[in-house]
Amino acid sequence: MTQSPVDLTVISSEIRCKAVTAVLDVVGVTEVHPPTRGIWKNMLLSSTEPHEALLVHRTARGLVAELDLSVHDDSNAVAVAAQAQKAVSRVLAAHGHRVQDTTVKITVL
Amino acid sequence: MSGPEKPDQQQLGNLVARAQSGDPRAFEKILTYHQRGLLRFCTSMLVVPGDAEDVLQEVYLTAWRQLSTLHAPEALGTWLYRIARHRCIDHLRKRTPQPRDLQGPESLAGDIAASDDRSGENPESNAETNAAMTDLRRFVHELPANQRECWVLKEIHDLSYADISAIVSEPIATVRGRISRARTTLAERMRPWK
Amino acid sequence: MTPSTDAPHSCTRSEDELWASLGSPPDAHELQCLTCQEQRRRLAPLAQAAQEWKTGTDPEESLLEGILGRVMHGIRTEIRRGTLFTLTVTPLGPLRISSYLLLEAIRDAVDSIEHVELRTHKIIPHADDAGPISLAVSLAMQAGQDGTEVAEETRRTIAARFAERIGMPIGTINVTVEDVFQ
Repeated sequence: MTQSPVDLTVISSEIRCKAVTAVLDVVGVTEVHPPTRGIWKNMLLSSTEPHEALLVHRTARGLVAELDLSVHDDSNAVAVAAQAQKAVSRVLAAHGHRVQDTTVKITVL
Repeated sequence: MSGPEKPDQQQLGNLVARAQSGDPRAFEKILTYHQRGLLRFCTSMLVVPGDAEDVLQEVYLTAWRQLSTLHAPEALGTWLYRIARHRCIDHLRKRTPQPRDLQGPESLAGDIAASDDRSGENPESNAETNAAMTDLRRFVHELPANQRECWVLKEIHDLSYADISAIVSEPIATVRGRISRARTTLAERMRPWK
Repeated sequence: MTPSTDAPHSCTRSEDELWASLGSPPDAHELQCLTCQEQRRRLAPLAQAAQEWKTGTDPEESLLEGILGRVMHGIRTEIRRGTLFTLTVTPLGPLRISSYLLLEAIRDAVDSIEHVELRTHKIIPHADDAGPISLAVSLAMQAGQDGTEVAEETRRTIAARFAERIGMPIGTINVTVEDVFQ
C-alpha cells in the first residue's frame, strides 16, 4: 500500500479539531497524544495545536485517520477506544467523508 | 550517606527484574536509592556548576536503555557509577579541556606552596569546618581526574577497592596507588587546617 | 610526607591502615610509635573535612526530584509508544494498545495478590500475529505458600484484570515461581 505524505488539505484543521474534541468527550478518555517527533525533542518544544492529535493521510484505499489516546485506569480499553473511533468517524461523515472509504485507527497508549 | 533505606538483596532482585521487564516505577525506585550518590559523584567530577544536572539526566536515560546489560542485581550500584563515570568523561571531553584535567600531581607544587601561606592563619571559628570542607572540595577538583574519581569513590562514597576497580576498569593496585597519591596531595594541602 | 627520622624503624603500618583507624583512638602500637603519631597528625585535617563532606548535604540535592521527574516523564512517554498490539479490528478500522499498558495490567494484577512479588513479565505475540497474545510471568513467593495455588491464583487474577481493563482475549498465562522469600 502506497502512502502519500500528510496532506492538510485532505481535511481542514477545523474538522480535525472537532474530531479531537469529540474524542475528548468520550467517557473514559483522559488525554489525546500528538504524534511524536521524537520524545526528547517533544519535551523541549512548545505545545502542539489540538487538531495535530488527529493525523490524516490518503492511501490507495481511501482516507486514514489516526489518533493516540489514554484511558482512565478503571475503564475498559477496547470499549473506550471503540467509542473514540465512532466519534471520529461521525465527525468525518458529517463533513462528507464516506464511512466505507475511511479507516480510523485508534491506539491506546 | 543518608537517603531512602536501601532494599535487601531479595527486594533489589525483584526491582531489577521488574525494571528489566519495562516497569518504570521499579526503575524510578531503584534510582531514588542511588540518585544522591550519583549526583555527588557527578558534581565532584565536573567543575562547571549545573553540568552535573545535565549529566545526571543522561546517566538515568543510559541506565534505562542499557538495563538489559545488568546481569547481577547486586552489581547495580557499581554499574550505575560506571555509567556516571563514562558520561562525566564524555562531558569533559566535549568541553574545552581544562589544564587540571590533564596534569599530574607534580604540577600542583606551586599551589601547595600558595596554600601553605595560610599556615600563619589560626582558624578557630565555628565556620572552620565548613571552610575546611570548601577548601577540600577545591583541592579535590584540582586533582588529576583519575585520582579524583578514585579518591571520591573511596572516601565520600565508601566504596571498596574492588568496586572502584570495577567502575574505573583498572586493577585494584592501580586504584590503591591513585588513592594513596591523592591522599598524600590532599593531606599536604589540608595541613594548614591542623 | 617523610616520617620523622627518630621513628622506630620497625614500624611497618601502612598509611591505608592508619587512615582506616583514624576514627578510633590510637592503639598500643600507635601510642608508642612516633611515625604513626606524626602520620595521624598529618592526616587528621583531611579526615575531618572528608567526614564532613560525606555526611553533609550538597546544595544541588534540591534538584534531584526535578531531574528524576523529568527523565521518568520522558521514559514513560517513550515506552508508551513502544511495541503496539491489535486489540481488535472493527468495521471502522483497527484498535491498538501499547505493550506498556498490557504490562501495567499484569503488574497491577500481581501486586494485588498477597504473599507474592512480581519479577519478570512479558508478552508473547501469537505466531501468526492474528491470534491472542500469551503472557509469561515469574514470581517470588512467601515461604509456606503452596506454589501451585499461587500460580493458579495469579493466572486467575491476571485474566480477570485483562477482561476488566483491557477487553482483549489472551492465550496462555505461563506462571513460574522462581524464588521464595521469608
